[in-house]
This record gives sequence, C-alpha cells and structure tokens, in this order.
Amino acid sequence: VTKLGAFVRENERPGRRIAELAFDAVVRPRAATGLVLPRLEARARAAGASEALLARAAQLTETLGVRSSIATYRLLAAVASGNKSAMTPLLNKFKPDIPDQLMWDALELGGYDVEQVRHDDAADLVAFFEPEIRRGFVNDGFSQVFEWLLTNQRVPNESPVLRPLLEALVSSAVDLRQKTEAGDQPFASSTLHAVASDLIDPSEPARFFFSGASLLAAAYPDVARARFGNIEFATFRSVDRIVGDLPSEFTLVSRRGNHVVIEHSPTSAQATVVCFDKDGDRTSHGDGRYTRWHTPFDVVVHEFDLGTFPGPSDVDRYLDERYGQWRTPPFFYDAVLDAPNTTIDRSLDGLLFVYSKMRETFATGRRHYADEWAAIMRDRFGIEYSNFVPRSVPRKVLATPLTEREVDGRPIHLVIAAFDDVDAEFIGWLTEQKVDGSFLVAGVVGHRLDGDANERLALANSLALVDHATLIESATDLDEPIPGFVVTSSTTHPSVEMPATA
Amino acid sequence: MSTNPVTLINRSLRSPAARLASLELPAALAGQSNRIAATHGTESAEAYVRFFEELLDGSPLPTYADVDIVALLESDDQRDALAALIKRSIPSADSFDDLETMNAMLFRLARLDHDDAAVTEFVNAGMQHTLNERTGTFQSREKHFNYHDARDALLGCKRIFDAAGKRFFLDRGTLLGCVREGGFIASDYDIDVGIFADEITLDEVKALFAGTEFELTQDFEFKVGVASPTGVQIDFFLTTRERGYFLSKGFRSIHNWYFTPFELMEYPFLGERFLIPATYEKHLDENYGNWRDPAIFYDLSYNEPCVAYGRGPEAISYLSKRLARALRRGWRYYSVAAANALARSFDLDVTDRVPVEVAPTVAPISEPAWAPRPIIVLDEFQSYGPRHRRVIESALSLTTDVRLDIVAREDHDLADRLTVAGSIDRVTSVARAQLTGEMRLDIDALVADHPQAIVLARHLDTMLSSTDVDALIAAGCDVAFFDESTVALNIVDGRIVARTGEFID
Repeated sequence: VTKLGAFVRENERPGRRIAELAFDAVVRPRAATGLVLPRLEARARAAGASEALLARAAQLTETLGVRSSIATYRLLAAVASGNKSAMTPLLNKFKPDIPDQLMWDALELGGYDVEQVRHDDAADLVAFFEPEIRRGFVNDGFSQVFEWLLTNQRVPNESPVLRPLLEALVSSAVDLRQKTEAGDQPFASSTLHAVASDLIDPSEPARFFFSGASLLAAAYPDVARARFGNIEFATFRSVDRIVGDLPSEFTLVSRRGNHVVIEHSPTSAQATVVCFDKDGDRTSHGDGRYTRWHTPFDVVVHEFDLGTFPGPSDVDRYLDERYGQWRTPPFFYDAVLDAPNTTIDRSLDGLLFVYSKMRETFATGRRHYADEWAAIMRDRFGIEYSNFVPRSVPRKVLATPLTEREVDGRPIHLVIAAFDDVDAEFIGWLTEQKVDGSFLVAGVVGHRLDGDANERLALANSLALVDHATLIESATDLDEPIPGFVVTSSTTHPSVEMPATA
Repeated sequence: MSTNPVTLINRSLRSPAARLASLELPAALAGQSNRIAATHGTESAEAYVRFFEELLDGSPLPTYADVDIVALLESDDQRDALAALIKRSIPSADSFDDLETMNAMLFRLARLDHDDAAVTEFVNAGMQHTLNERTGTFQSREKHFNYHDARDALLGCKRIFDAAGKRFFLDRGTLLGCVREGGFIASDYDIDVGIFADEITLDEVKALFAGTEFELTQDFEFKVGVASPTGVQIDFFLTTRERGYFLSKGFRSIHNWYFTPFELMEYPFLGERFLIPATYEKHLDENYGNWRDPAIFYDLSYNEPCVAYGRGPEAISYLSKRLARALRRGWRYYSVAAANALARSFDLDVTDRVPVEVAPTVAPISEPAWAPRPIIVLDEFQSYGPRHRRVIESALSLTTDVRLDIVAREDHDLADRLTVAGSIDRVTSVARAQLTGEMRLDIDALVADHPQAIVLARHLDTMLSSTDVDALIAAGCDVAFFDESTVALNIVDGRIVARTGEFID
C-alpha cells in the first residue's frame, strides 16, 4: 500500500498502474499466456494483421510483459475494424524506432492504400497521411506516423506541408489548455448577482462594491476569468466593522489581515471582502502576507449587464493594475506571482508564506514557481536559494551560432583585425566602425587550431562594442564570414595582412 | 489530519465547542470556539479545534501556512499557554513538517520579526532539508550508477585508450562531477567523454572496444556508447573543431553543443590523471550556467546554455511535442521554455498565451534586501589582453557585479586607461583606484562595498602590504593575484583564488 501510495503521488496516470497491479495479482501472467493470448492473436490474424505485426505483438511478452502483448493484439483488431483513434496507441507499442515494414503494415491494416504512396516523395507522404497525423496531434499531442515520416522517410525541412502541421500540433495543445482552464470557472454570473444583491445596498455604494474577479465578470462577462479568483467585493470600512455588521444572509467563515471570507446562505457561495486602506497617493489591501496596491479611486455606480452595482470609477485601470494582461487571459496565471500590483510583506508572516511556497515547490519540482519564490525570498528577505535553480549565461559568453533574432534586421558591418593589442587607440578605431544601428562583427584573423587565435576571438567577443566575433582563417572565409548571413560592409584594420586563400 | 475513520466520523458528528471541551487543554485555551466563530468565522473555529485535537493525539498538524491559530488568540495568557503546550509537544514530534509548524508558531507567539537570526536559521534548516531530499531526484533513481562501477568503467576505458595512444577528455556531467565533487554527481546515470574528430573517428572508437569486456550500445552518426560489464554507459561525443567554436551533436542532431574552443590539461581524478578542458570553468559556464551549486532542476533542452537546436524537422517537431505535452499537463515552466525556444529558433510563436511580466504601476518599489557582492579587479589597464579577459570573465561567472579599478599613479594617460577598461562588456563600473599617500591601495575604500574579493595584477602586489591583506581577509574579502599564467578565478575551500594551468597541445 505504501508503494502504491508513493506511485500515485509520483505518477501522472496512477489509475493505469493500479489496473496493472490488479491484473498481475488476479489474472496471473502465465494463465493469460496460455489462455488469453492465443485467442487474441487469432482474432487479430483474422482481422488482417500481418505476420510481422503479430510477431512483434508476441515479442512484447518477453520485453514488456504479457499485458503489452494483450493490449497490442486488441489494438490490432481495433485498427483493422476502422477505429482510427487506436492507431497511435498501436504504434506506441512499436516505439522507439519503428521499422518501415511494421509501419507500412500497420497503416495498411488501418485502411490506408499504402501501395498508392509507398514510393512517393516524402512530402507527398506527409500530405497523404495528414488526417492520420492531425488526429494524433489533437487526440494524443503527437503522431507516431509523423515522427516516422520525419526520421525514416526524411521529410525535408523546407517541405511546404511540414510547418502547417506543426502549427496544428501547437494550436491543438493551446486549444486544449484553453478548454481545461476555462472549465474551471469559479462562479456563475447568476450566483454573483444573488450574492451581490444581498450584500450591496444601492443607497450606500461605498459600503460594499465590486472588485477583483467580480468586477471583471460584471464589466467584461466575455473574458475568461477562471484563474482570476473567486467572488470578491471591497469596502473602505474596517474588518471589525464588516464582521460586526454582516447582513443576515451571510455568515463569517474566516479572516486574515484585511481579508474577510463570508458565506452567502441562500447560495452557499463564498466571497472574499477586501478592506482597503487609504494611504496618501495609494490605496491597498492585504492578508498580512502580501499587499495589493492600487491608485486611489472613487466608487461609482455602473450599469453592468449583470445589474446596477458600484465599483471603482476607472474599471480598466483597476483591472490593469490588478491583473496585468487580463484582456487575453494567460495560461497558468498565479494570483500572487502574476499580479503586477502585489508585493510580499516584509514581515514574519510574509517570510513564512514565501518560505512555505519555496520549500513546497522545491520539494515537488514545480520549477517555474520554485524559481519565482526563490527570487522573492532573495530580493525581499535577503535569503539566497535561487542559485539552486539553473541559470543561463549572457549570449556573448557562448559560442552558439548567430541567430536572425539577434541581428534583428540590422546591417552587418565586419571589422577584420588581429585583436591582439587592444589599447585606447584600437578602441578609438573600433568605435569609429560602430555606425549607429549596425551590427558589428569582429573578424579575428587566425587559425582554428591556434590557441592564441581562439584567445583573441574570445577577447574580441568580450568587448562591449562587438556584437559577435568570428574567426577568419583565409581570404575565402570572406565570401561568407558568418554562415547564413549577408555582410553589408567591412573594414580591415591597417595592421592586418589577410592570409592567403586556402 | 487523523486518518482513523472512527475518529473522523466522531468529530464530524460533534460541534467544535463539544470537541474542544473534551480535550485536556489549559484553561486559557479551552472554551474559545464560540468566541472564535463569532469574531473570526466558523472555519477558523473548526481549525482551532482541529489543531488541538491533532496536536494532542500526535496526528500530522495542519501547516502554519494553512491555518493561522496564533491570530485567533486575544490575550497574553492564551499565547503563553499555547507556547508552553507547543514546547511540550516538540520533543515528541516525529515529522519535519510538524516541527516546522510548531517552530513557526513559536516565532509568531514570541513576535519575532522576519530578520531575526532564529527565523533565518529556521529557513536555512528547512531548505537544507529539502535540498538534501531533492538532490539527485530529478533523474530516475533507477538509472543511477554507483561510484565503484562508474570508476571501474572509466578507468577501463582509459586503459584501452592509453594502450592505443589515443586520448579522450571528460565532458558534460562527468566533467562537472570531476571538478565540483571530485567524483560523480549524485544524479548522474552515465559517463560522458569527448573525442576530437581530427584525432579519432567513431569507427575507430568502436574498433578499440571490439573484443573487450565493453559492449557497444549506441551507434549514432555523432555519438557512440559502450556499456561496461556492470552496465555503466559511456557516451563518446565526437567533437569537431570548427571555425570559432567546437561542436558536438546528440541523437539526430536535435541538440547541438557549441563550445568556445579550448585546450586540454591533465587533472587528478579517481587516483589517475584525466584530460579535461583547460578552461574548464568557462566550459562549465557554457554547459550549465551556474554550475557551482548543485541544481535541483535540470533539463537538457532548456538548461544547457551552449545547446542550439538543429535546423532539421526533428528538432522543431521535438520542441512542438514538448510544448504540446507541457500544455496538456499544465506544466508552466516547460510550456514557457518550449514556447520561447520555438519562437526564438523556429519563429513559431505562441508566447502570447503564457504570462508575461507586467511592470507594476502602483506598487511601491522598495530597495531589494539582497545584492550580489562585487569582485573588484585592479590593474593599470593600459591595454586589454587575454589575462584580463580570463580573470574578468570568470569573475562574472562568480558574481554579476564586477568592478574595474584602474591603478594610476599619475593623471596623464588616465583617460586612455578609462577608455580601455570601459570597453569591456558586462562590468558594473570602471573607476580610478583610490591610493593612500604612500601610494598603496586604500583598504577602507576597497572594503566599503563589502566585496567578496579583490583581484590584483601580480606586478602591483607591492601596493598591498601583508597587513593590508590581513585586513581585507578579516573583512571577509578574499585576495587573489593574477598574471599571464592565470587561467581563471576559482573557488577553493570557499575562497576565491587565481588558478594557473598548463595546456597540453
């Protein structure tokens, strides 16, 4: 049970493993081998599976266990019966490198007229199998057929069918995440209306008014707000006054700092009331661990589709401050880390809050959050653990190839020099070469096997004026000093004699 | 929370007040549930009762982050009673989380602040506990090799290469383990070595191992792998010396490692001497970024700065699949990393769907509580050469705050020297070093910003007396001297030193 518990915690699909353990405990692999496998094999054979496919299915008993063979025979029968969604799981059984014969047989079993395309151009193959590939992308997030075409059939990078398919893969994943996040709407508009109607007195708009996700839902009902929080109202009154003066439809659930959670009895919905403090040129509320800051605002009555309710006068500014990019809600929004107006309090509670988040995310491997919380711990409390999260190094330290994104459309100016004596005069000359808006490439004269040349190359790269450095071994290198890029202009330092053409 | 079903049912059937009355609590803490329900809410009252039930029956406690019991108390008597109860319970606590909860509550009861030494110590102890648990778990434990098997495999490989008059060098995780740990890193599961393509081919590597106890396990275009008799995998990365960079490639060229060219040097390891890149600090900077602390997260595709993706369809497909998988699973880091990589390398841009940092417009910007400690490099800077570059670049891998102090006894060419030092990328500041009347370095001025080290050109060492050096070290500032033979700054026994080395052609 302990092992199973650990497995459930650590794995993404514990249900499947539980089923496997139950199978092993109850059915017994040996019994399955003698009784079940022959029947399933016969059924797959009758459905049209080739000898190669059947042999691979049988072979899986030795490598992955009898369950894999059983599943494969069933998938063969399913594919043969026209079940398109069974194709990817079937091909997964043949990973990682699927032999051509096996792939052709599987596709033929799935109803594809492989004789028609077997000898076609690789790009045509992609076009032919596009429905199968797209189905894999949408259903499974990948397509074994696509992988096989890329690696075994060598689909060229420039194939016109390639990119639309990859874009389809990415956009299907984006759509799926969008659906997942949108499915978690924390409250319905009707609930919000019911709660607000019982809490807010229209004659006293400043007593309670719409804020947070409630304001977003009321003002922009079409914006997905799943990650922007629960029902929220605000007030300029103190917590004690709120607690002591709740309308009869509400009960107090809990309070923390300037935040009070109440429950609306008729709907059982919970809402948070945040109590704003005014402080000169800003106003804020917090729960003792973090504070959300706003530009001071007046409360006015708005005519929302939901009804007539009070809220901050400049709704858009409030939402910009609270949520940042709320108009196109981003995935993975975190109510504290991603709220631009929120700071962690420099207090014991603030530190304990950050510490608990940092330790939890380090322990569970939630990388993005570990990085963020460690940075907050460092910057707010001076306790440094961010160095345990991998960090990159500046681009110019690296020898990686130049990219178009770095050049960013600027004209490339090549300066050819030895870079062996960088004094004030040389820096002056180099400065003259750095024309405004140009991308300065240092062409360092020397040979790749000469350690001194590589030292000078690194030296050139470490100059602030130089955007990129490359080695110039011979005059022929000047034909294409930076592979893939066009050099607009070049200058050679007077001291340099170019090496002869190799 | 207790997991005993009878206990759970019993608790659910009784009111918080009744449950609290059944507990043996000090008078100050008993009979509080109705007051708490009225002033702090029903959930708070339930949490209050549950906390004491679990504290008294030894069940795991709700964490201090979830429940704020201390805030529910209203008198010093109550706070003193709770502190006494917790102190009595701490010796019998058998879980780290419970100890944390109780200690955090004691801090709050004692009204300590965030910068109290006990609080900092608490955080450090908890993080050390977490790091110890986490280190080595980012790869599957099942794949890990043990030290003895790995050592035997690497020594066996070296014997075969030595006998053939061929050479290889330690690379990647194996180099990192050799340099940082003096062994193999805890999370490693194979041995990585590099070979130069102009010295030996992969076919020759295969031929070397043919008929030996090693078995060929990988045979790719740019890499072969052999396994020792105990199953330790050794990967040979073919390294080509290209114009301006060294290049090795992974499976199907999806990942390509571009390194600044390097020479080799001998380094003691496993009781023998192995070849490693002579500029190993820079090599590891490029390979792993902040390699000096054992990272608890690692991903080949996103955490090796020197890796560039191949231009073939396999690479874009690989990244697309990773993005799709991460989005499906709700993994934020991997979604963002893959989206950024696709946009940067293949112009396939969906980065607008992941959160971007929006600058705050209203939040008060307070001074950060932390700043990197600077390293100050001192020289005359009449010109800028390789020795400067090596020292400054390695200083920049130790801190982001590197300052250049120009030692100039006279004013006549100061502007030129400022020009030279000012031309160096990424340094924080360039200034004239302050000297005393005896033309020595002004120690008080140097330590004013609490540097972690001053690094002085060796020919200027007369500008520091031994008393000055002692004063700097006493102030927590290391002192190192560099010259033409200096390869890099390094940390030895926790102190920054200048490392010299000999290259092997």
